[in-house]
Amino acid sequence: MDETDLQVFIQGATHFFSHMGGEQAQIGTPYLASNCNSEIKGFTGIIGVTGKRKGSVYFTAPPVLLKVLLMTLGEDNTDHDNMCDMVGEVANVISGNARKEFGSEFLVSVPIVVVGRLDKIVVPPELRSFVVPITWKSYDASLVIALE
Amino acid sequence: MKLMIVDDSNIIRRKIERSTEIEGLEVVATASNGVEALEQFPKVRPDIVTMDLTMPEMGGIECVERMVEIDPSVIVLVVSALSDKATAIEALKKGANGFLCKPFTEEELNRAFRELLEEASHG
Amino acid sequence: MGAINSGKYRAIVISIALFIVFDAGVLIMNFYIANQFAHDAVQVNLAGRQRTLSQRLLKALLQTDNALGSGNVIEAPLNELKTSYHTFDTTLTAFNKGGSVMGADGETVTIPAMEDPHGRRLLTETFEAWLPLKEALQPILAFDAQIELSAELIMTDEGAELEGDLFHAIMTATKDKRNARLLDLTNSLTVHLEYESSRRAMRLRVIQVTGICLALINFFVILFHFIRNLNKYDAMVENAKKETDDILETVNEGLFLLDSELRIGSQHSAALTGIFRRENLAGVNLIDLLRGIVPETTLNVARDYISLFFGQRVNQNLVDDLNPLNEVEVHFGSEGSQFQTRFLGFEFRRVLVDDELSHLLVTVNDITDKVALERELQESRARSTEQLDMLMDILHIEPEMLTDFLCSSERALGKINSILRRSARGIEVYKAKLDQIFREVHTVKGEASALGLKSVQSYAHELEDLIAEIQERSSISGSDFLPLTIKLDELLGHIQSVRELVARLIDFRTAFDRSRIAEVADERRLAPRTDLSALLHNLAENVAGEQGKRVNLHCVGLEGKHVPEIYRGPIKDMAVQFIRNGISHGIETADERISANKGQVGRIAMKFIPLNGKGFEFSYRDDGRGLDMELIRKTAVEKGFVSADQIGTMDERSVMALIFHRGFSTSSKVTTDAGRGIGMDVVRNLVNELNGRVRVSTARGEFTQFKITLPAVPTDLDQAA
Repeated sequence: MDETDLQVFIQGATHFFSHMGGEQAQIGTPYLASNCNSEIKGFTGIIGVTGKRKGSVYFTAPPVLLKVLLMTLGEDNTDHDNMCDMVGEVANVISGNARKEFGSEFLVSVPIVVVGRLDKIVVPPELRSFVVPITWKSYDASLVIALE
Repeated sequence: MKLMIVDDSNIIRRKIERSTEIEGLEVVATASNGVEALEQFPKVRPDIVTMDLTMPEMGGIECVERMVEIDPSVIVLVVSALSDKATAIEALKKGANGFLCKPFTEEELNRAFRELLEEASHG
Repeated sequence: MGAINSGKYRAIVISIALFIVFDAGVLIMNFYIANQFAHDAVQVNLAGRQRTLSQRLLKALLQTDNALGSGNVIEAPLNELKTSYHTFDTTLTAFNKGGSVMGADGETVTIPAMEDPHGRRLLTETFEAWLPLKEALQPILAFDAQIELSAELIMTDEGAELEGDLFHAIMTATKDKRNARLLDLTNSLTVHLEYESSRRAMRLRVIQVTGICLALINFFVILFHFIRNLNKYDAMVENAKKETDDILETVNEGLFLLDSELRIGSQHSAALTGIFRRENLAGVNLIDLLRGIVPETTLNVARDYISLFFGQRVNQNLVDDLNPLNEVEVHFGSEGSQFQTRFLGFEFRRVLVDDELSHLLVTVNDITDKVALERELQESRARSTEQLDMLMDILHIEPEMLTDFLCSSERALGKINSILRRSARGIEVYKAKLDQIFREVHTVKGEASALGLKSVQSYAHELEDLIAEIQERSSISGSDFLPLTIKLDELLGHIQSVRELVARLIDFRTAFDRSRIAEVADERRLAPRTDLSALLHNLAENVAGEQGKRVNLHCVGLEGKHVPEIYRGPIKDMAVQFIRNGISHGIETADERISANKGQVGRIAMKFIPLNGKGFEFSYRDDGRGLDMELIRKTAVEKGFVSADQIGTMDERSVMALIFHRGFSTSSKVTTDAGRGIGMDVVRNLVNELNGRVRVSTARGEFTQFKITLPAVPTDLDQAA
């Protein structure tokens, strides 16, 4: 796994929080996880990646973080649908950043949003994912990068 | 038939010289860069030129272009490594007729010559 | 193709020529008939006039005579007589010999001499009847007196003579019913002419109808011929198209023609839509089709490459090597967020029609499976080289020790991962994390080195480098750990592949174990299974080898089951550190030893002895250069463990204790075996964990000794372990 490739995804996430969230997000020490589902925190935006490397990148956040984020953005309606939109938006920024940075080396898909456990995980079981803890206003989200 | 070899590698030049087995094809000149090649070109008027692409002084692409300008009937075989397909295609756009990938065997070289000469004889 | 055409066309040309000839014939015939009709009509009219004239002549004769007798003016009837006579005679002559005649409408018409026998006979008879009358009329016609009144005329001689002539003429006309005969004859002539005319018309009509019929037949022949040929041609085309369709329908490859605008032709194989996952490909620009699924740079090169084929100069057989699309990775977006990656292989060939380049024939294949196979082959080749190296390392390691090692290192790496996972903030916490990780890594490295697993050792070494590098930074953030996590992932992967290799070796051995030869060897192998000394011997040999030193290790109580299960791990870890440090720092090179009057081979002794029910003593001793107190003092001050003032007041024991400080190392250069300043740190931690005590004694130039006392293990705990 190439460090700069991972950094691009992480930057996408931190970029979102510093521009939209009003407060810089803190990156925790990245660790490995063999089961993506154990890292899922409720709402997840999934980005498909192919090209030089293949797999998925997940941005996963608990409802509370999304609610606070929505309110920070001036949105009082923090219902289920809006939380889905919010997590999708973060994933969008991450994928947009990746698309810009990688150019034609990688192909990055439009994100899809999943609530709860991920039923269809297309990551091979022997593949370890990189989990990057993201803390924003004392709420914890994660960026899970599962690339071959 | 007169053959001119343009390549900055002495080894490749000699390899082509030694390997050429086509009857009536005779090496009349060798050059180690584009400038040298263009100097000799109008004097010896070769029928076929083998052309390296990456050379000091003047690269193969420009050299091919100038040669075809001087003599549109010249046959140019680009002899280069595969590492940069785009450059080789550029040379072909400028008028080279064929491409031979380095490293090549004697057989491959002669097959390329035969192909080119056959096509030339058909017009 | 040309030959077929000329044959086909010759028949058509002849048919059409015939059709034109027939049509022209009918047309000419029509013209001729129309002409003939006009002629015949003139003749019939003239004949009819003759009939009238014959009567009018007689009538004028009688009127003249009457007028003369009754004294009236005779000029009008006489003139009438003259005109009638003249016209009759000229017409008759014309009928006989051919010639010009004044027509009914006052125009001069020319008629031919009558030819047919019946006509001639009638004419001859008419002449016979006419000539006497003509004779008789001559004097009357010659009369030309300028007399106004007939009353006067009759009185004259001329009048009398005329009277006589008239009488004679009337007599001649009426004699033998000449007049009736003339009327009959002229009538017959008219009827005859009419009959002749209609007969001729009939004949001409028959010819005309025949011509029309022939033309019609010819037309139908042409039509039939044409339709048959067209049908045949259509069937041929249909057949050819069906064949092409069948081929295009069934062929597995994507086949299509490409024009100079790089557009796909109207026909393509059915497989093509499957390959591109798209319908309606006809007329689509190939580059547009590939845009989005192939990187833009490849597309640009591809466009240039394809254009070469449309140029004149390039020999298509000599540019295959350059084809940027011969094995191109394409990505199809699909449902959800996953891409589907396939490999396509394109081939381009010129299609020449009459020596002119018309299109390129393009063949596309989905070569995903082939590429995957090739890559797998390549990877497995690379893997087997790597595995062969690993195999050389593994082969001389006892399988149980190796498995132990793999388990313990995976445990250690798992521990590192949970350290990383623990949420933390602030540089101090991060540094603590780094320290903890470092110790785990160092242990793994030590064990790997003991086993001679160079690959694992070097991974661990790289990890240590990374940790050291992060430690140096003035500010540390979570993302600084990223390279560490990546390296951890790599090391885990590596250990996994060692595991796979071991599993394969075990399979291999199981196969051999079944044979009898293996049975004999089994006895010998059973003994050292839990033998720590073998591991330590191995390590000592490896480390000494790397440092160009020679060492003789002597172990007591470390083989077999002498070491209680619970202490086995820690004892192993400590022993590894002692040996590595001892050989690196304590044991001198052979030359140094000779000049110090020592044997060339350094000696290390390690003992594990039970202390009469009061626990155990684990000792290490080497006959190396001993601890260099000055160096320890200097290093401790340099690293800031103690201040320069403090060091002066410290006694020898306290100074020696400094070597157990984390990060302490006197070695000037970092090797995998020493210089990290972590080894003794591990020992101290372990001793603390086990509630033991450690004592150090040393003599400059003579020896270094560590004695560790460990408490007794409760019997049931030992059993449990």
